[in-house]
Amino acid sequence: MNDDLKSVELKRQRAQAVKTAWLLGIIALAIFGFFIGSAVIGR
Amino acid sequence: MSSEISHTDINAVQDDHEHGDHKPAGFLDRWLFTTNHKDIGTLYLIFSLTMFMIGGAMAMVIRAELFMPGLQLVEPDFFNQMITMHALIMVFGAVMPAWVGFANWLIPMMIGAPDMALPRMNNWSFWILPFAFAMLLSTLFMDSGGPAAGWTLYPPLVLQSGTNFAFVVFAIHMMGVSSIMGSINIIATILNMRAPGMTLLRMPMFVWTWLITAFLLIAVMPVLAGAVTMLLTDHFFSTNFFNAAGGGDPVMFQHIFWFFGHPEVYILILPAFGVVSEILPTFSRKPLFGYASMVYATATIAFLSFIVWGHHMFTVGMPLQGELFFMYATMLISVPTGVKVFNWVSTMWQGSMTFETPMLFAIGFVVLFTIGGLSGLMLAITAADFQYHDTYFVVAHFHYVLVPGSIFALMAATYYWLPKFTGNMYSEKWGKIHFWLSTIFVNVLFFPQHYLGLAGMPRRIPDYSPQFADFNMISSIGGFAFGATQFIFVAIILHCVFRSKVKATAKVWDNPIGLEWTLESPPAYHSFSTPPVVTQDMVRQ
Repeated sequence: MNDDLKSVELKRQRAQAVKTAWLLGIIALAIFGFFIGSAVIGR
Repeated sequence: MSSEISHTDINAVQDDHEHGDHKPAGFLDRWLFTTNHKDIGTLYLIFSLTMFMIGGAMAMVIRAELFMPGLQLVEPDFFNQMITMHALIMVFGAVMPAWVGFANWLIPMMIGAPDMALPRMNNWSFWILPFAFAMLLSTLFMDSGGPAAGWTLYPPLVLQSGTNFAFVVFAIHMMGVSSIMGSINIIATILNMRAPGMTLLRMPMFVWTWLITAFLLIAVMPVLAGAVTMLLTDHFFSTNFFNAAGGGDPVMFQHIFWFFGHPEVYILILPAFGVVSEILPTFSRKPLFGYASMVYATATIAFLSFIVWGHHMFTVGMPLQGELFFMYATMLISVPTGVKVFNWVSTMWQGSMTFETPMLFAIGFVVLFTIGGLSGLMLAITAADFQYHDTYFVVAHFHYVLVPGSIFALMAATYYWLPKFTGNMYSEKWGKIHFWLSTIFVNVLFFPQHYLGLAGMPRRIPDYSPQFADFNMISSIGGFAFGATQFIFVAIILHCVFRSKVKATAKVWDNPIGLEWTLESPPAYHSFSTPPVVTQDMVRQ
């Protein structure tokens, strides 16, 4: 694997990782919102 | 994992050492602004060791006060602050950051990645922590003192806290943000940055256990954040989520808290399972017995951890069907846990075992963690729990799981990988002295607490009836000795890092398994900038 290919592959991996991170972050916020929201509605 | 280390891409390793050692020159650039996974791992480990000593000092205050009946040293309110802060610091400041530190160091090297997937967020995840704990510790110097309602923060007691409570809640929020960002980074790294050929079922067990732990963290830390946010608004903004006088339900907090709290226990212990699963094969000179079943058992434990929270609340009162459900679900966890213990013992069975310090701590973990697991089974029996609940039996149980469990595994991991991290060997003689003193005194410290609990001594009290005096004195002596022994641990680490003249080889041990052992000791600042190609003949599973 030459340097260019390596760099392209690394960039692709990092771009995919950013997407994964956004998805997980949204899930975490959704769980936070769900628990507070259900407590508010339950009250 | 690699049994034949030499057939990794040697050129890549060479390349690392020719071009990979460009560390930032300045101190601040190196440590404050670092995005390097090894530096951030080191920062986490230094931070957690510091917190371990601070939390340990608080434990010494607790054991000193309980040395004999009567109030000797501290006021009851300060005693309550000590038990609360000891727990918060040990759970969130010592054990969790230590595992994140090892994850930072090891996961990229184990999967053949050049770094964590999101290096800047990695820096941020760490540097939130010192501020969070500075804020938490600062409450001890406030007029209202530190938090004193226990780490479970149960209302209505916790709602009687003073102004410190806002600081405590904000500190917990910051710890949560740090943990969630760290977990996101770990999952993103493992799922996206593996070297070619490193399939999921070829990953080392430490990577697997951390992947599952990271999912647990993302699932439950927002729950804790939600619970403490509602406490905050109840305290300062006149809401009534948990205030019975306003129509709220304090028991609802307990449900929400333990929905977080029980998986939290597994967050502290699953990476320990991974470490032991790495160490036992190396020093038994055999592959890990039942790799796939270890992965599935870990995932099963993680799943079950979400449906057992009610066993912390049997005495609160719940329908009989609820009690039965939580009892049986809790007992079910012993099945995958038993699979793990069986596999560890089978790994050692007929192996060519040697007993270097990491192996001693790993074996100590298997034996003593199992004692903690068995007392957990006793607590799972609803009818029996009415006797054990809120007694020192519970204290003995979870300390057996966390101290000779998680913390012994952390010590095993330190001795196992410190030569890899530093390039220097630690003193094997002093490592063994540390192990034997720790093992003896941790049992002197915690085993008598089973008897105290069975005899009815309640937890979280600064004074007690005279009939509990003897076992408390034995426990305190064990506590002081265990605490003093940990200075040996710190001295061994400092000696290894700064003074040791014995250089570590790349493999360090006799044919260890894993990509990290293909790198030199210490590894270059930037390793695996050219990813290794992992093939089937390089892995054992």
